Amino acid sequence: MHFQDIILSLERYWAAYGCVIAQPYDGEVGAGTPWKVAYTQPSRRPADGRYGKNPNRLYTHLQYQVILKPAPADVQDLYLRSLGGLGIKMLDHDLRFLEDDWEAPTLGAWGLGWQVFLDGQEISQFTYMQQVGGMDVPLISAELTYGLERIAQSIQRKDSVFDLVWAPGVTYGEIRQQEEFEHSTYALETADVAVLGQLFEAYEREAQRLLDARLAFPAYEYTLKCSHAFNLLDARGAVGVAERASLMGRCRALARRSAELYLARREEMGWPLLRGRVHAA
Amino acid sequence: MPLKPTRHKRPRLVFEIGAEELPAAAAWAAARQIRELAPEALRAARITCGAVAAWSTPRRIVLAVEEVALRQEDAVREVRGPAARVAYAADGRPTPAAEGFARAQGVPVAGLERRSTPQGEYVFAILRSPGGPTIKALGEVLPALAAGLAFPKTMRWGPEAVRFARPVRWLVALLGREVVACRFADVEAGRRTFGHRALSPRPITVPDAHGFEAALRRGFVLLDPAVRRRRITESATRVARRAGGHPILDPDLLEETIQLVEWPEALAGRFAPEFLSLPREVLITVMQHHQKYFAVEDASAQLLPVFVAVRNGGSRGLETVREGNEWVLRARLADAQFFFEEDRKRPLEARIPELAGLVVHERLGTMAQKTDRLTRLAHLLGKALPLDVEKTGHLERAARLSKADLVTQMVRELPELQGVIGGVYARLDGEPAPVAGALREQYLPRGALLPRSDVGAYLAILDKLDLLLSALAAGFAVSGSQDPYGLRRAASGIVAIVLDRHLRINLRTFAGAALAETHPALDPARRSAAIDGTLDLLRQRLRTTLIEAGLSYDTVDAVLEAGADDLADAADRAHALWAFRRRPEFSRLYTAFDRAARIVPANFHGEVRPEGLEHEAERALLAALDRVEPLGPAGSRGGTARSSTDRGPGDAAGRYEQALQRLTAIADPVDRFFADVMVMAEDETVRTNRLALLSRVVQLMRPFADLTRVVAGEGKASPAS
Repeated sequence: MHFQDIILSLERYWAAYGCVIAQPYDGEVGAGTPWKVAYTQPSRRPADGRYGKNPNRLYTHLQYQVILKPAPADVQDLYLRSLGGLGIKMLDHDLRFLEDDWEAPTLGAWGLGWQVFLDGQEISQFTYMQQVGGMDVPLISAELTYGLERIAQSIQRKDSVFDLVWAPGVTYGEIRQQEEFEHSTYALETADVAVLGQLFEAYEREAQRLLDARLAFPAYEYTLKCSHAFNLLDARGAVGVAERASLMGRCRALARRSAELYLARREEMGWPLLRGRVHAA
Repeated sequence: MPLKPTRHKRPRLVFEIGAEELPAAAAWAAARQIRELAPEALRAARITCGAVAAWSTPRRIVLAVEEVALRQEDAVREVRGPAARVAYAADGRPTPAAEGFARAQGVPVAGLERRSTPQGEYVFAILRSPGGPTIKALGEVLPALAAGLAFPKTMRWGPEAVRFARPVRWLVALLGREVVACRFADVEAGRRTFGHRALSPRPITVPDAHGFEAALRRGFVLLDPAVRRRRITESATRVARRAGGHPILDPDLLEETIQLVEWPEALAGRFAPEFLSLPREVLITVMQHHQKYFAVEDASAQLLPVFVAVRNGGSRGLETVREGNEWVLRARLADAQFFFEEDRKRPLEARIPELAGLVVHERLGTMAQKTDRLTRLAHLLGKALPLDVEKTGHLERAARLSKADLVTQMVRELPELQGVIGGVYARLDGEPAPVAGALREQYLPRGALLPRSDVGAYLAILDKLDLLLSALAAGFAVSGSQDPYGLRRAASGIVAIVLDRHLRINLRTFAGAALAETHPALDPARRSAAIDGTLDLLRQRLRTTLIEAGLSYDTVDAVLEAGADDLADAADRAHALWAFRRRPEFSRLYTAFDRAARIVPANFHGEVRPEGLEHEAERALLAALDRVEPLGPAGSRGGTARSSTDRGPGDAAGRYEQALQRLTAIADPVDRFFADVMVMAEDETVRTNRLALLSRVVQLMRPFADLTRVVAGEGKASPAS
């Protein structure tokens, strides 16, 4: 199964289930939206950049995200059937749900769930989201995150992510290796620490200004940029001792305010996505 | 559907909580808790029953109760009415008061009973409410039991506010053949359960509680963890033997694995022998912690390029599963090899400057600062004990290198290797063996595992003592059950090591010197708070340790009251007193000291003037006092490390016990003194002199124990060690 066919199979499966097939968040890192939605999300982790040389580590990796809100009672079965579409039949494999709690401290979000292991390989993260932006969520969502490269490596039995066949005649490496090399070089060597520091400050100011102007989406976008600037500084080894906790705290504060503002705006609008579906818990 | 009457007079009860995959620890805890809670809950609901058992798997918690009575026992309640003299006239006939009371309680007046109470004689109405059907009462008991299970981390998953370790998806509640109608977590109980996810995907209907385990077994679920344990160890041993070795059945991994599988099947896989060049610790950590495999050794305890994985399922597709696991492990080991080679490009020493970028805690500074403190403390401890020059050198070197592995790639990727990999790298760097050994042992004790080397033990103590002193100096507090910074754990680590090695040191003195060295600018109030706080924690842990060893609490408290700054000495005194208490002489000695202690005022000061002693009994007591040796510490106080021939507490405690024995020589003279002499004489000079004499009796015991804390007659009450 080619890399792109894995994505196509998941898209078809979740669309048939009734998910909105959305487009990824077009900024740095992923973000959650309500209801039933599925999309491929590039996820950037500067500190994991290895110049495209480590066979299992990437600056940017692709994950397929499914958010089901509220979490249906048969969500585990739904997930397992989606694997069936990828040719992974439970009877022929060893599939485990191993306890794993997910947490994003800069965004004040956490949940409980599992890492899903296929024959010893972690292929997905499965989370019942409990808090977002530092607030308890009234309606619990299930978030499924498929590690697309891991799944593809497992299906295609490739030791290196760069040897994956993306589409007939094209490998993952041919498409992404240069990008990996350049981003890693930037994050680990070339990034200008002073500029990143100024960017952090500027993004933060802009987020605060947008929060004051009651524009939740742009404010959240700048919050994510802030968080990414922090990740770059961290990868560059430029975050000092006392600074680290303080920068993370500032990101978390923005995330919390963004979430509060978003809730307030949705409430003013009368919870449009809840209309006619369920009553707010 | 219509239910047939149950075949058993006293049927079996089965209650199953079906959940999405529970964390292993939660599965273990839930079965233990429900087994403990059920008997009391059933008793409170007046349900008589036979044996209670509980089991768990990753997907279910099951309670089984044998021979459950079909009806609750009757409830009997006694209500007190008027006093008997008010309720009955002189001729014994009931008065209107009695009639009114009986009417109000709904019983005939002739049924009232007269009972005597501490307040006098009263009439009572005996109210019996007959027990109802058990099955109805269980409808309330079972959901309450489920709700009573406690987990360290809980979650919500649906619209209900119920919290549980993971979502609850089905309930089975059967009394014999009948369903116990009840709900929990938005789920209605029934007779439908589920078998193994892959091997038995369809629901299973259970007709009768008596066949529950058999039904699950047909659904490829081994309910009893003991059975799964046996199956895992047997099949792991079998497949490892076929590969030429035996599995290292790490107990923690085994416990966890039991709760990851419902139908275990072990398989052996291989990895490239080249990876055997990695340190054994690295191989085992990758296999055990990350992949949950058992490592395999040959008869000479050498690792083989083989692992044993335990699959949750049968033998179908076993080849695919093996191949997949081998493939994953190869990638993991290739990563580890890469980290190892990268790390080995520079010696540990060269990494020390990087520790400046690693924060212990905002208020506790960086690992570089911790390293600096530890190195100074090593020097200080070398002087205090004292250690010879070589050992002090090793300890200082180990302290300096102790945290360097925290900035290696290996520890970043495999944090559980901290210390251990430092030891490996130090050895490969050519550091002296005691230094490498100490790095490995610095984070001990872990479970029952204690440092075995001297330098390792000293470093482990300093690491923890520095945490206590720094944290308390920074104003951290330990309160209630909260111990976020591990201060209690650090204190119990110190106590365990000090007692294990019978290390004689006055920790109050040493803590003072340590703080002066590491926190010279600390203000005096903070300094003494940090020292007191540290010694308090140590003393609490010592108390717990001794009581857990079987000593009675009052023995321990009496001894600790006389001082616990030297932990090993305090433990010796406690053991000696505990042993001596069970001898017949103890009560004589106790009485002598107790009488003296009661009569001498707490703040009394005064020397005995021998020429002022008028009475024969007084002079005899003084002579006896001059003959006995004081009950000081068995070793030099604040002192030296003991020679290796005096390692156990036994020797020193034994000497204390003998000294106590000799001290009984004081008992007769004290008795005679009290019999013949009036202590509180009119003449103040005489009185003061007599008190001074008794004060010397009290002083004899003071450095050993405060006997007034001993509860007379308690000596035999506690379980012997």
